[in-house]
Amino acid sequence: MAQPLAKKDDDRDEEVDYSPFLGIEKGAVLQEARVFNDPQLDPQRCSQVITKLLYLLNQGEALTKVEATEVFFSVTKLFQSKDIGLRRMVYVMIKELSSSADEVIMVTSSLMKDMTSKTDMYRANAIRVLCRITDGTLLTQIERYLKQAIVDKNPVVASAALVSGIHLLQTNPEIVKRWSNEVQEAVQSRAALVQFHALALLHQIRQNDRLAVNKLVSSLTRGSVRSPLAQCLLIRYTSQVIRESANNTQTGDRPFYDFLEGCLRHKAEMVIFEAARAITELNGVTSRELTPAITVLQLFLSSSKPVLRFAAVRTLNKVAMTHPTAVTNCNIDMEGLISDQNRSIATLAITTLLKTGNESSVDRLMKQITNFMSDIADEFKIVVVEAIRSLCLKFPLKHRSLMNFLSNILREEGGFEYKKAIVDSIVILIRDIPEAKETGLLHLCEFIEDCEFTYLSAQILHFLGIEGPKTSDPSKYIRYIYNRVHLENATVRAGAVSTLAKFGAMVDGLKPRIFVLLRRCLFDTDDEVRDRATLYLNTLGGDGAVVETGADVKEFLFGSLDIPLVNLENSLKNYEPSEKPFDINYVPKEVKSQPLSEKKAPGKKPTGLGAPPPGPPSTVDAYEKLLSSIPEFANFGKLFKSSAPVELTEAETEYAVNVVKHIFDGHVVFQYNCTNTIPEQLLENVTVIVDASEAEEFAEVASKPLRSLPYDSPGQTFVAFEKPEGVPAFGKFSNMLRFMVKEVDPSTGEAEDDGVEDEYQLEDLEVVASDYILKVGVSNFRNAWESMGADFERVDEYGLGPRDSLAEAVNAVIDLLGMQPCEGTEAVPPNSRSHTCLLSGVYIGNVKVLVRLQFGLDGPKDVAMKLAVRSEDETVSDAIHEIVASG
Amino acid sequence: MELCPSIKNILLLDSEGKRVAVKYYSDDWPTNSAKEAFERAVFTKTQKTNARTEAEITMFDNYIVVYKFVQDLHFFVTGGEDENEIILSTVLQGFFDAVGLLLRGNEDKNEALENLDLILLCLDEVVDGGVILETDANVIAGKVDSHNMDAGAPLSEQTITQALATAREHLTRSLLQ
Repeated sequence: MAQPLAKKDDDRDEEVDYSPFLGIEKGAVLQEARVFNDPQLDPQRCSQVITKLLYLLNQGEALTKVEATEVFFSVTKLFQSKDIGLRRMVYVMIKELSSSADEVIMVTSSLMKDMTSKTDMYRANAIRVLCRITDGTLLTQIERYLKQAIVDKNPVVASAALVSGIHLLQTNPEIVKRWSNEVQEAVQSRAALVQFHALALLHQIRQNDRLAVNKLVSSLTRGSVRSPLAQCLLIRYTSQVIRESANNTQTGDRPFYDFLEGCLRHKAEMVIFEAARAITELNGVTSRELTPAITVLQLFLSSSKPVLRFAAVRTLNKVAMTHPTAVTNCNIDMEGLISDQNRSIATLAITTLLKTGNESSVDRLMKQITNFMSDIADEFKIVVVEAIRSLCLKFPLKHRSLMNFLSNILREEGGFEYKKAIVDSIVILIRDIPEAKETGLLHLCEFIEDCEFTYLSAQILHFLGIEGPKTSDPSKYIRYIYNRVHLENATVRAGAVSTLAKFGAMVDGLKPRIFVLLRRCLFDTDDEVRDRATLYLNTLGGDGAVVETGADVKEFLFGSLDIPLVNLENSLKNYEPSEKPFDINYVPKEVKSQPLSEKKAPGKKPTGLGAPPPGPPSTVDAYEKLLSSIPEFANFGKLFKSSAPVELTEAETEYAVNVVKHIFDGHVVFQYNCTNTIPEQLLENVTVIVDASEAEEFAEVASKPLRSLPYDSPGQTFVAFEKPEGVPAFGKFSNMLRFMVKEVDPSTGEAEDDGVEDEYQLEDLEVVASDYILKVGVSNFRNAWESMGADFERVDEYGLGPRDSLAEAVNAVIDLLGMQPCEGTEAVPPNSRSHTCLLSGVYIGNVKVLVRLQFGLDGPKDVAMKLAVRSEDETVSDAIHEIVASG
Repeated sequence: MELCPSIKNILLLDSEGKRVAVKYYSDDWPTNSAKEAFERAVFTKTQKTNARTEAEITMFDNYIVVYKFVQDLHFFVTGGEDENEIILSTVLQGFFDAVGLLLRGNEDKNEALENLDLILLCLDEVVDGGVILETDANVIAGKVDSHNMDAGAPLSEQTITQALATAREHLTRSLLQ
C-alpha cells in the first residue's frame, strides 16, 4: 500500500492531515482492483481495495457504467475465497454497485449458494443482497428459501428476510403477500427486532384490508408485544384504526383509548412518547383524554436529555394551538426552558408560552424574550414574531408593549424575511386594532428612513398612502414620504410619488403643499417617477385651483385592480395595435383555481401586505379566441365564464367526451371535447343532439358539427343556446353523440368508403347557479366588505344536516356557490368546532358579490351555517340565498 | 404520517464537516451536490453546540436531525418531521456506541478512517434501505466483527465482553500491514 503506517510517527503537523486515503485516485484504485482476478487471492489485500473503492464512492466519486460493470464482475470472483471478512465487504460492494452496473443478475447463483449456507451471517447477508438485485421471475425461484428464512431460529436471518420483504412489497406485492402465514408466525418471535420487522411487514401486506388491520390491532393490543419499536408501530396502527372508526361511533368511550393510555406507563421512553403524541393527535380529543398525556410530556420537559425535552415541547406546542388551557399546567417548566442551551427548544418553549399565556403574564414574558432574541437565528425570530402577532390580536389592550417590542426588533440587524415578518405583523395590527394605528404608522415611517430593502419600502409607502390620510394629523407623514423622493432608488421614489398623490386626493388642506412637492418630481432623472408625477398633477387638478377630488379620481387612485395580473399580462400580449384602444374591461376576471399539487402548504398565514396569489396562466383567453373564431358565435358578445370540463362518459369507454359550458350574456355555448379511443374506427360528421326539454328557458340557435374524428386526436363540436339576457337560467340537458362510423384498416390507416350511422348515449348536463358566478378574489376582504356597505346585505341561517366534518361542509358550500375563497379561509383547522369562510365573486351582469359564511357544529355531526351576503344589487344578494336554500 | 419509522440518512463527518462515511436512504437528495449541501447545512447549524455528553437535536427544512459528537467525529441521524424523535436518537446511540466499541474507545477521525471497513459494515448493519435493522450497539458491533465468531452461535447472544474481545482481535490484524 502507498501509505505505510510508519508515517504516524512523523511530526505533529503532518499527523493532523494524515489519512490512510490521502491522495488516492480513482484510476489507480481501479487498476489495483485487478488483484480480484488473481488465481491466488489475497483476502487482506482484496478487502483493502474494496475499502478504498467504497471510500471513493462514499466521497461522491461516480463510476461510469463500464467501470462499475467491470468492477462488479471482478468482485464476483471473490466468492471463491472462504475469508469471512472479505465476504462481508463483497456483499456491501455488490449493494453499492447494484444500481449502476449492468447484468447484476449474474451474481445470483453465488448468492443463492450463500443463502442456503450453514453460516448464519452468510444467509442473512445473501438474502439482503439478493433481494436488492432480484426480479419477479427470480423471486419465485427463491421464494421457498425466503419463507424459511422468515421463521429461521436465528433472529438476524429472520430480520434480513423480513426487511427484504418490506422492500420487495413495493415491486412484487403479489409474491410477498403469499408469505403472510410465515410473517404472522414471526410476529410472535421472542427476538425484539424480528417482532418489529414482522409487524411492519404484516401491516403493509394487509393495509388495504381495514377489517384485517382492525383484527390485527385488537389481538395485539391485548397480547404481549415485547419490542419497544414494535410497540410504537402498534400505537401508530391503533391511532389509524381509531381515526377510521371515528365516523361510526357517535358517542361513548373511544375504542383502544385504554391501550394508548396504558402505553404511557411503558418502560421505554420512545413508547411513552409515541403514545402521548398519539393521544394529543386524536380527532376531537377531550381534555379528560389529554390530561394523562400532558402529564408525561411535562415530566419529559425537565429531563436531562435534550431529545426528550425537544420532543415534549414540540408536541405541547402543537397542542397549545387547539387546546391552550390544557397546556397551562406546564407553563412554569416552559419558562425554565427559555434559557435552554438548545435554541430550538427555547424557541418552541417561547412560542408555546405566547399561545397559552394570559393577559397578566404578557409583560413578564416580553422582558424574557427581549434578552433571548439577540442570540437566536433569523428563522427562530420569525417564529417568535408570528407568535407575538397572534398574541397581540388576542389581547388588544397589550398592543402598546407588543408594538414597542416589534418596533425595537425592527431597528436591529436582520435579514429580509425577518424584517418582512415584522412589517407584516405591524400592518396587521394597525388594521385590526384601531388604537394601535398612529403609533404603528410612525414606527413604519421611522423604519423606511433607514431601510435597505426596496420591496419593504415600496410596500410601506403604499400602505401609508391608504391609512395615512385617515389619521388625525396626516401632515406629519408628508416629511417621511418626501424624504424618500430625495434619498432612494427609482422604485421607491415612484412609490413615494403615488403616496403623496393619495394624501393630496384625500386631504384638501394638504393639496397646495402636495402640488409643490409633486411639481419638483417633474425633474426626476427616472421617467417612471416623472410620468407618475405628471399623471397625478393632472388628475388632481394641479394647475392651481384647489378643487374637490372627484369620485372617479379616487377610484383610480385607491380602487383595487380586480383583474388577475396574469390575465392582464396575457391580454396585453395578445393586443395588436389598431384603431381600437385596449379596453381593460375585456380582460377576463376569472381566477383559475390552482391544481392541487401546486397548492401552498395549508396553514400558511396570509401576509399582511400581499396581493392575492397570482393564478397560473388561464385558459380563458384560449377559449375566448377559439369561440370568437367561429362565425356563428362571434356576435354573442363578451364571454362571461367558461366552466371546468365536465366528464360526460365513464373513464375508458369507446368515446371519451367532456363538456365545457361557456356562458355569455344572452347565450350559452356547450363545447363538447370528444376523443375517439378505437384505433379501427374513424368518426365523421360528429354532432351532439341535445334535448333541452328540461331547460325551458333555453332555445337552441346553432350547432357546429365536427367533420372528422380520427383515432386519438381530440376534436370539438359545439351547440349554442339562447337564453334570457343578463339573468341566470338553469336547466338540465340530455345529450346523444351522433356520428358516421367508418372502419379503418389498422395496417394501412386507410378508412373504408362506406360508413354506418351510429349513436352513443352521453350523460346529462346541467347549467347551475355557480356557472353564473365568476371566481374573483379580493386582496383585503375586510376593506371590500366595509366599502360595499350593508345596503343590500341579506343574512339568514341554514341547517346543513349531518356532515362528515366541518371541512366537508365548507367545501360543499364553496363548490355550490362557485366563488373564490379569500385569505385562505377555505382551510379548516382540524378539530375546530366553528369556522368562518370568506368568499368573493362576480355575478352575471358584472355585479360584485361578497359572502361571509359562519359554520358551527351543532351537536355531534350537525352543521349549522349563517350566511351573510353583500352585493351591489339586492336581487343578486337574494339570488345567492336562493342558491344555498335550494342546494 | 409514515407508519413505519424511517431513517433518511446517517452521516459521520469530521470536525471540518468533511465526510468520513455517509449513507442516504431517501431520494430527497438526488445528487451528490445536494447531499453535500445538506451536510454543510447540518454541520454549520450544529457546529457550535455541545453534543458530547448527551445527544442533541435540531429541526430544519422539515427534517429532524439528532446528533452527537466525540473528539473530531460528528455523528448525525436524520428523519422526517413527523418522526418520533426518541426513535431517531435510539438509532443514533446504537450507531455511536457500536463505532465506539469497534474503535475500542479510540474514537477519532484517523482511527475511523483506518478502520473504515468496520464503519461501513456498521452502517450496513444499523439501517437497511431506511428501515431500522438493529439498535443495540453490542449486537451491531458483534455482527460487524464476526471473523472469529462461532458460526453456529446466534449473533444476538454475544455478550459485551465477547464483542469487545472480537473487536480487540481485529486490531491485531492491521488493515495496512
